[in-house]
Amino acid sequence: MGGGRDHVLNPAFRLLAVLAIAAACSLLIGGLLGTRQVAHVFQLLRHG
Amino acid sequence: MTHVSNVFFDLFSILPTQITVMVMLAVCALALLVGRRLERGLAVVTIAAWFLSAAVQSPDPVGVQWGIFTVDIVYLLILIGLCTVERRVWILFMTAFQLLVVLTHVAFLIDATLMQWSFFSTYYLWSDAQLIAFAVGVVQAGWGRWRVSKA
Repeated sequence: MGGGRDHVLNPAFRLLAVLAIAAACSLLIGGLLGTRQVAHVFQLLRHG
Repeated sequence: MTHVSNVFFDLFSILPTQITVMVMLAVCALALLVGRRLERGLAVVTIAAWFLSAAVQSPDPVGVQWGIFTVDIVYLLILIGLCTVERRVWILFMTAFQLLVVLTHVAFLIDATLMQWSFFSTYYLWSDAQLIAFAVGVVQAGWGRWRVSKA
């Protein structure tokens, strides 16, 4: 995540980057695991 | 007082929350110790947001969590404000994950058939991702500080 360096970018571009990260992560989790599977993992943690 | 103690008992009542709260407190404590003004300020806001969320949590298993929703929107607005003026990359990730937390609320509002447990599972998932992003920021700040002190 940037290796500790500063990244100077336009604020509007940074907000677009936020949207892109959110969309990518949502698709990744939704596509690979699916909400039910994620819920199942947490259910296992809850009930053992 | 009993209500307050019940709320905080609920906060620590299940394993994912117990682990996440401990990690959150550890990351925030580290941020207060080694962080710059950004990390320290964000640590205080994060602790406040988590405990406020626990305090306003509704015990209704099928109802909408309006209190937590409000806290999360305020927290998101703070992060959006910070990420437009701060140049660090990790805060973009933190804001993105908080946006997904808020969108989880919106999904629950749109589809009331989603069970509360599914809601909290997804909620914890993005909260954990957000904590990881914050931990990266804190480690970077600590590493930078250590390098400066060595030079």
